[in-house]
Amino acid sequence: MSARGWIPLACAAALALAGCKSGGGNFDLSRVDFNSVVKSVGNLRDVKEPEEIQIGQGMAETLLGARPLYDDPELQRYVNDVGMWVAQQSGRPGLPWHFGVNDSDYINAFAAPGGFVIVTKGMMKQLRNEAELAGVLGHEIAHVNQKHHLKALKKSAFADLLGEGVSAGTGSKYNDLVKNLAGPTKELYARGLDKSDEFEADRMGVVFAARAGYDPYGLPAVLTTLASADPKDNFLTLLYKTHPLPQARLDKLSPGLTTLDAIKAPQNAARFQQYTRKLRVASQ
Amino acid sequence: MRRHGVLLLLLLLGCVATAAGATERGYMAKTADLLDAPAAGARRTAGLAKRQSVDVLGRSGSWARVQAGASVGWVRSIDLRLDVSMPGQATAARVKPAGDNGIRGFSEEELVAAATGAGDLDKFRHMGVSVKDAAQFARAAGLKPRKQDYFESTDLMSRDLPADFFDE
Repeated sequence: MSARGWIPLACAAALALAGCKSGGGNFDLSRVDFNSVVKSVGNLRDVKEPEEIQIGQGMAETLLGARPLYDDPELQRYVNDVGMWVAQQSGRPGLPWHFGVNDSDYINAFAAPGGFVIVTKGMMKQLRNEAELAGVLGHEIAHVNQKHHLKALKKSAFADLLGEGVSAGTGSKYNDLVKNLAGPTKELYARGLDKSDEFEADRMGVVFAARAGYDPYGLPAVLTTLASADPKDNFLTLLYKTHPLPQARLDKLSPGLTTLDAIKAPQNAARFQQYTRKLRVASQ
Repeated sequence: MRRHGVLLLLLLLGCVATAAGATERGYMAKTADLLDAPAAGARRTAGLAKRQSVDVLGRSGSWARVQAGASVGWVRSIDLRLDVSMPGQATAARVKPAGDNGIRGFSEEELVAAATGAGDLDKFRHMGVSVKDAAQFARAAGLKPRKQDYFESTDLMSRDLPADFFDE
């Protein structure tokens, strides 16, 4: 089943289930058996890598529409050099990996399928060295490696497409799918991934950073920074909506980290400070 | 000669441990042993209570050298939390809320209002680097790739995803 064929068929299935009128968009959602719909979509969906990249690009487009890139070409190049190197240690080195820093003071990082990773300016300002950056990027690379977002979309995308009023008359082109994913994208990034996926990305991100030759304690150090912050801080209240608590993430990571105790590897604080100089000067 | 080697090793460890510079203040996130060396099998010299205050004197890999009262020794960095009240530390003092309605790197309003077909996608797509350039950049900083297996809870990670992962 190609992606081109997915939307019409899936919509038709949903319309049949929901008993909706086509073209009107005023669906009676209370009558929709979403479990059956999602199951149907799951059976119909066949995401090959080129489609995954297009979906991820569409999601990245929405995320960049929410907040643009930070204007610092040297920093952007630096994050891409580090990110591409860490990504080479993953199970999917051949993806067209792209990394960017957006112009947001919120502290976070996120990924989209197919190799698109965005780190906020606010997150960059929290980091102390390149090993911490590698750890954060490793976490996001792990989400892509494990197709966590695609898995989440698979659970929810169709319900959200209905919410957008998508009818069987649309989606004949693959680009329509990307546009129609804007709603599910917004919903997904507001809700966050499953906690188990976040824990898995932590474990995997540490390993990718270690394989890349960095001090593997970069990501745990970032989590320690977050866990040390005032829990009454507004920022943390918001972070907790979409992620497990930093302390819970550290607790989950801790047993496995003992296997990495013997590693003595660089943190590259000097290089990190050099490339983030403009960022830090601008924030003063 | 061997003794000199041990002394040199201790000296090097000391250098690594103090490379971070100024003392940080913190406290223990959990009950832990204070060890006489940065290793899991090192000798226990004291016990540290949860929330006990410590001064972080330096770090070595995954270990932190701390002073608790009159005792000095090593604990796992992951068991430490830094004191948020100390300016200039890597703590919440630097974590400033940008508002009260932000979600995952942007405000909810920005996310809802985001339009496709706009923004910096083209710029983003042209920012990528080649694998060769990234590898060269890594080598320039002395990074050496190493073999590292996945650890613990590797139920999903240790195997490749099946080709029909989404086909069911």
